[in-house]
Amino acid sequence: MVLIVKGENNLNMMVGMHIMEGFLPVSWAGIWTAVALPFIILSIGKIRNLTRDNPRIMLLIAFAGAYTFVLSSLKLPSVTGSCSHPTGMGLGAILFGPMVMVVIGLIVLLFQALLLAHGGITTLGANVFSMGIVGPFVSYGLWVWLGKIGLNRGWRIFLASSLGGLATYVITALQLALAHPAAGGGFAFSALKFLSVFAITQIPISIAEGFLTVLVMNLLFSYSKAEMNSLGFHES
Amino acid sequence: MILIDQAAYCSPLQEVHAGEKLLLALSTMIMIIAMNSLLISSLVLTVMTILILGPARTAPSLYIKILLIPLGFILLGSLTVAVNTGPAWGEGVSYLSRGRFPLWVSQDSLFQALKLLVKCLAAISCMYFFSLTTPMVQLIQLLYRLRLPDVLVELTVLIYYYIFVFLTIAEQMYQAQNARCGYQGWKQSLYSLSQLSANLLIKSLKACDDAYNGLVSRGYCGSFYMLEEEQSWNTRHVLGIIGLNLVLLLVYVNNPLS
Repeated sequence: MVLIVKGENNLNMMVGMHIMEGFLPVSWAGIWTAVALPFIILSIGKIRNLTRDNPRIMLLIAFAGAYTFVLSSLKLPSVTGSCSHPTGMGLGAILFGPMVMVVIGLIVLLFQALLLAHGGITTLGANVFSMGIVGPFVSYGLWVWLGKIGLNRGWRIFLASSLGGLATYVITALQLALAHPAAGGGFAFSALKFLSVFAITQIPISIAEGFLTVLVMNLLFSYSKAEMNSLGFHES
Repeated sequence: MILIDQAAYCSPLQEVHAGEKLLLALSTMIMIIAMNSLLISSLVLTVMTILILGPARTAPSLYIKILLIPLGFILLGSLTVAVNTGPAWGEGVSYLSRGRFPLWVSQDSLFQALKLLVKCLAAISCMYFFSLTTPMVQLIQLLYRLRLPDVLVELTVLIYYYIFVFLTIAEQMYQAQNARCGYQGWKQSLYSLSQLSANLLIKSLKACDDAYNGLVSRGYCGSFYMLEEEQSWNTRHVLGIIGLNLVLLLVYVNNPLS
């Protein structure tokens, strides 16, 4: 957190999880925005339904967004020494459900671009698709499915959040490969390049994020059952 | 405080209509990305840097600091574009390693990477021009006027206000942990960070509840009404923006390959 907010020691290599401004050509920026748009509209509809009778829910969703933003401005210690930031999207998807996370992802990514210089405006659509749509849906799907097959809670949280994070990075690598196909080799070679670079940096980060989410959820379950219930979260 | 936010509130250009700043940033950004030319990108990077350091009066140290933030991603991304694997292709190939997975660069791939790097920096400078001169409150007013879905704008407002409350809480906890050697070594850091995240959730949920009670007791029923700052479009600025874009277009038409 000190890293960006205070602006201290930010010479550390930060291997970003968001596609930076200017990295995508106009065509791909447009395509990913068009892909993300229906999800955003559905998500807005869902939030409108949830908040119609109870404005308090609106504040809870805003709470989720601000919490995700602050979490993402913390520095996550990673094994390789490179530092990254927890996305918090896995935790959010488990706590609040994936549909709400689409709009939260959109707003958090906008703030990250404008206030923290992470991500961009023309790449917002692509980033929303990888971090706000694919990540939370994978996390939530795994959380529910692993619950059905009777895995214990710790493993469910670990797998859901780390694989959700990993899915985000895989999609990001593929988005970059599609936008920058290798000369002579095309998309396949380019995908191989970006995936291998991302694998080195992002697999340790995903694992660290998985551990972090397990520890957070354990603390929440042991000390704040009431708050968890007020979020509409019941241990299943 | 968030540094960029602070700079935006202090900038003399915050008086300028937010729409003009957005128009300048977006139009040049789209020009750079659509033209994908080294010349245009470096031109825009220069113009934006002059605007940011000159009229916007951003401290040079801050500008350099935030330009370095995305550098990790840009370098890694450009390097990945420059270095190829598989059968070599194109002119001026030199191998970095041979074997089953040969790694090579060519004149062409190096040029592509350089173009990407400068293009990225230029586009980022456009974004910085907007965020370093436009306080978030102005952007929110702009979003209201653009008739975006009310739910989206309300959430943006709420999240923006909450961020500062939660950041203060997180900062206090971080300081307390750090003072007690909470961030020594990887395992300890991860444990401390998890405690911070969990406590942040609980404490900020409490803060959020308090805010809700405060709002409800003042008649909140789902939407905010804000006093709008009166700002008007400046014709000279708009003409300047159109002029800049025309110049870029002319330069591009005359040197399409650079």
